[in-house]
Amino acid sequence: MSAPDATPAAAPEAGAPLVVAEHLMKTFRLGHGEQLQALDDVSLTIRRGETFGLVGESGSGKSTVSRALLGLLPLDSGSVRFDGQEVTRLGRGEMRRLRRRMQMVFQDPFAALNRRQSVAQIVAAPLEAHGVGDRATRAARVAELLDLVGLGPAYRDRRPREMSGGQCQRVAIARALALDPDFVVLDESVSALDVSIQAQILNLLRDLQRRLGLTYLFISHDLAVIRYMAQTVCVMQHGRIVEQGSRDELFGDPRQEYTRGLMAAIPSADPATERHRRRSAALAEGVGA
Amino acid sequence: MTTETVLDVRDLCVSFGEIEPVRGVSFALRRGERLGLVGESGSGKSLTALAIMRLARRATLRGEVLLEGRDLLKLKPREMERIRGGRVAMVYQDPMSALNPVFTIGRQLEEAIRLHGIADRSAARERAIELLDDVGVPHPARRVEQYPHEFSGGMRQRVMIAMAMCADPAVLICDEPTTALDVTTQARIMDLLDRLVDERGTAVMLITHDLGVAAGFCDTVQVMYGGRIVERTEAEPLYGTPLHPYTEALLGAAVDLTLDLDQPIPTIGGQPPLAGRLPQGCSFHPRCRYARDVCTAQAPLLEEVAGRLVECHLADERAAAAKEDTHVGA
Repeated sequence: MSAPDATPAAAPEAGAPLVVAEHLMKTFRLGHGEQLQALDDVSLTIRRGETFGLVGESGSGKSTVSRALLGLLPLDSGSVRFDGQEVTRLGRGEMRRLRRRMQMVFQDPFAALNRRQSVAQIVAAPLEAHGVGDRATRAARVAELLDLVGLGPAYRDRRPREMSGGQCQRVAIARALALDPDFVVLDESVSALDVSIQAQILNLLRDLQRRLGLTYLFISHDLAVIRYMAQTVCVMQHGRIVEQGSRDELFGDPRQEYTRGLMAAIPSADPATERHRRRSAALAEGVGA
Repeated sequence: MTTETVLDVRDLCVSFGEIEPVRGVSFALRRGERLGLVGESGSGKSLTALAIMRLARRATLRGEVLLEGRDLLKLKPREMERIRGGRVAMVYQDPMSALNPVFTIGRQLEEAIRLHGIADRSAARERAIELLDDVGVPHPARRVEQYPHEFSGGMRQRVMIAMAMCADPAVLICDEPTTALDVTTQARIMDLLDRLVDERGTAVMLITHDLGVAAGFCDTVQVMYGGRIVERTEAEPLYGTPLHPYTEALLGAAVDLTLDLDQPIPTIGGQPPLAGRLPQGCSFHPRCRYARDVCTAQAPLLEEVAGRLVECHLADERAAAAKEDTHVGA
């Protein structure tokens, strides 16, 4: 299952820091002299083998953080270390080697896949781009990957438009795993999926993590999904980290008003609980106003 | 609550040539009722709404859609234009695509208002400001001069609701009105819809894939699968003891704060069926863990079982078992 030229000296220790970000700052110029503080002193540590959940409302800076961690965003200041290497100071070649170890899966699988390519071509693309293996070994690896994400060999020749959203997301996951990465960023990867398909993909992601020892950065606006997936949770608002802690700490005893507000807004699929929740939320808002 | 029926949909079928994504849907909506239509993509829920609005392009519609006694499917296009946005209005998921980016919010609201009654320009402007105020847009007199891009997603959705409410419709259809919004904004929009129903007695049909949102808002919920309503009852019994195996599976797969962290999420295997490629018999049987021979051979009918409507061969049996469970539990 390991990529041909990956030769780890020793099995990396689970729980050791894999991604460490310190004091990330980023300002975007909006024109008319206006500025947006997209990242405001963001520090976080993602440990090997864990799922790190990043939650916040749209515009809170979640995706900006992920781009910074992957070295895709020039920062104003701050440092990002991936497995000890300073990402912000890497040369092109070093960065290219590092990229193999970090991958992404996005929200909209249709937009993220090339419509003209077959599933086999899509999944093989990263192998070709990094010159891994020959034709035959690549084909074998594609078959292995499709099997891993629960797509039978019959899907090899399909194209994205012949598949459902859930199947396309499985292809995107297979492609992300092609180079045997350590770290996978899942940016709202299940947000566009139907309930039954979302459940299938979440189960698959947990299963893959266990089998392959992956580390996830799981970005979502949905706190209930974050709770199910992540061991460490970080809440963002306006480019800042509002609260950060273990799942039990955060869900058991949220310290910040903002986190409590987010939690209070999650609907429950039970009419009595949900009516009660909405009534008390409306009351609380009335009192606060 | 009055029991006056404002919308009565009878055996509605929507087809495109051979393919029939909505296959005989019947339901009624009373004044002031909050009805949920839940289901996954491709179940036919949005198409049902578009058919009621006569906005399903190139589709053949059959059946009856009685709005306050008039069959909308028999109206001439011009007559339908007066009804649409008048007696029945719709709010969509993406408010940005429903608003014109080059006109001010005020101008777009005024246009809707003048189409449905008020002819005088300054009176229409006044009404627009009043409507924005009513849906909770702060500083409405200033906001009418602004363009859609100057509004946040939640505020845009409020504008859409104001526009839909401008002629005081009997029926408001909301198709995933909060799906594109953050949870806190979502909660405020649902509160707004609640208030409109209470204050004006508008009947709301809420289309959503989010079982939590439906649970908090709806009096009655109907579940769609493969172009049919497969279960319909009041919200509490539906969530408490789902009788259709699809309803049960859908509720089981929902992720909320009570989910067991150590177990995989219970899932429904496979994919929802495509219209035109429906399996023989019950359309859910290939994914149903309880399926028997009869389910593969024969399509069930929507029938009354234990005070609700269910379309499942095993409904009687499951209702009896559920009753026994509650007795044992009590």
